Amino acid sequence: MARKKLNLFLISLLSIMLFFTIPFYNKWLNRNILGGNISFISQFNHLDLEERKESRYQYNYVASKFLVSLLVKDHVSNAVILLPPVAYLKENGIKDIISIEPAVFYYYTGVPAVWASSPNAETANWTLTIMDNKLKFRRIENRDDLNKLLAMYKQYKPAL
Amino acid sequence: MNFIGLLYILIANYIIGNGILKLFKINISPFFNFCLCMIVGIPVIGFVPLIVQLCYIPISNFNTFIAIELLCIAIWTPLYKKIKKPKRIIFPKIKIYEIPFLVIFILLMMVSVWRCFYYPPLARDLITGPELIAEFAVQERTLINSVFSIDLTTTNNYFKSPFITGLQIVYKLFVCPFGQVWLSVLSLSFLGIIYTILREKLHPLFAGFILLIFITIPELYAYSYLVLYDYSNMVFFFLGVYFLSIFLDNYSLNNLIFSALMFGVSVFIRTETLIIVSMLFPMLTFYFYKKKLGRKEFLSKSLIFLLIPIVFYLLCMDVFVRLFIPLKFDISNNLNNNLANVSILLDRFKDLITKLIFSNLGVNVYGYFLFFFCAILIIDLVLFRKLRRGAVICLYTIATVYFGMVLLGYLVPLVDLLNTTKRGLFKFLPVMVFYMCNSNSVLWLSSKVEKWELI
Repeated sequence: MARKKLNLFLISLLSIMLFFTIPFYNKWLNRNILGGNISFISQFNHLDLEERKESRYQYNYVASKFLVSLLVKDHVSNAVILLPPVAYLKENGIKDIISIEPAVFYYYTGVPAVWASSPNAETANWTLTIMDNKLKFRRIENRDDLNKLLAMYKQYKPAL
Repeated sequence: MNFIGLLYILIANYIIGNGILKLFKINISPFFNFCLCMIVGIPVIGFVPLIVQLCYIPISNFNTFIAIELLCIAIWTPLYKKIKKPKRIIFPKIKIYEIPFLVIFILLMMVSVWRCFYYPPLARDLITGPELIAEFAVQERTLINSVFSIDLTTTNNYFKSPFITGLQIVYKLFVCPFGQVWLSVLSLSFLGIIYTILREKLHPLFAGFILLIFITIPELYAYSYLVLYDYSNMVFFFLGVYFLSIFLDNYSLNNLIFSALMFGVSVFIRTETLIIVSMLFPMLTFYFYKKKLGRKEFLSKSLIFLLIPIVFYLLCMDVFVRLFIPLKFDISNNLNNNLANVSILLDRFKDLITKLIFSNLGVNVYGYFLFFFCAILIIDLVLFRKLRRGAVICLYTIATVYFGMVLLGYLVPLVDLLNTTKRGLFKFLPVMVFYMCNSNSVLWLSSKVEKWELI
């Protein structure tokens, strides 16, 4: 009886080993469970909430938080940020940026943002724009300035 | 992570779940009972912030705590005479040859639980909808919060069921800032139930192997730590099917009501599931006819099966979405206006097989699980020819999910193939496992091994 149990133990062990030698499952196990860039020890050492958010949301989150930190530094309250279309940024040489929608920006930062196509786009008072071939974060000076920006951004199709 | 908060929520979860199972007089093995209590408690806990909001009370830690306490008392009040000293949860005896499988399951699920805790919610559907509302509900103590004053034209995810919103609020208040850990409670308890069902009918070696190929379905595994609606929807849909099959065995009304309740929760999570649940009704009618039920009994049982999920649908759409979302919801824009064009239906029917199931994409999404199921089905049909009642119920349900998803894709073009349909098909995966428990070939092989072991 004990011998049969031992045989069954070996069969179960062997079946698991054989299962994970199937190329598809082997790749899945190595890539998604054991390997990749996931290290438990490093994650244990980085339990800070901000670090975890940065590692999950990456560039978009870091960039959004950076913008808001500039507002905090200047003691700006009631800011509504006009987010430029990605196509506009890419056309002007800013390649490594990904589209971010107002709802996600608000989730990341707690600061409202709009697109040029948003129904409440006229409430925007800050924007990201290209000046002297550089990406600048600036206050929208007046209504004319806003209208010019909206007209320019509306030439580009917003994309998620 | 607030461990005391987690412990409190888990205990409340168990007490609520246990109360509900006692109300329905569900008679199952102790370990199954424990896992089911944990699962059944989850949606009830998720209702708490919604009830608090309905009473115009701020959603704070204290108010939510009081509401959970009151809910526990409310559920246990009709049962107070039956309160006995709690029985010890007897874990099934583990045989030595189960250990390798159990070790693998524990390791795989440890990774899933860790990721669920470590990472914040990721899916866009979540962070532009339920998670966004939950995050600001915790900060502003109300579900009708500043989120609705920002530009939401790029998303309609805030119209989705408040199931996740409620749970995220409770777990953010009591456990950790990212919430989410409820998904690990759900997935662990669900796998516990699946293994118990397998072990009740099959030799542990077969049970272990079938669970292994189920756990390693890549997309399903990923959604055991990525919060979205489909995993939870699958769990409650499967429980509905399981208790429906028990009802069709013993015709006990409690099991029918409990099954309808589970279907109801799955409809509450994803409202379109109502179409799939109602497509199960012909099967029920067939068995009622075979059983020669009287007209009155036929009508009352049919009404129970259909009405409970409809009530949950109305609760989601006409109570919570209507009261908590201060924006207009018009579903007519999302419907197919050209129903006469049946080619869309036929195309979707074909695409589901050729592009999603039997394709490279299908292997990447579902692994070889579907091929494994098909092989067993073919062996059953060729060698054994006769199917057990449980197997027939499973096959009917699998077909229902398949045709239901095709129909949904036809009616609502937003139900696309590579996202909504792909995840919607999760519903038939545990039913396929349940089929394997009722498969003549697997049962035959399992009984041979059992006999060999005992000789």
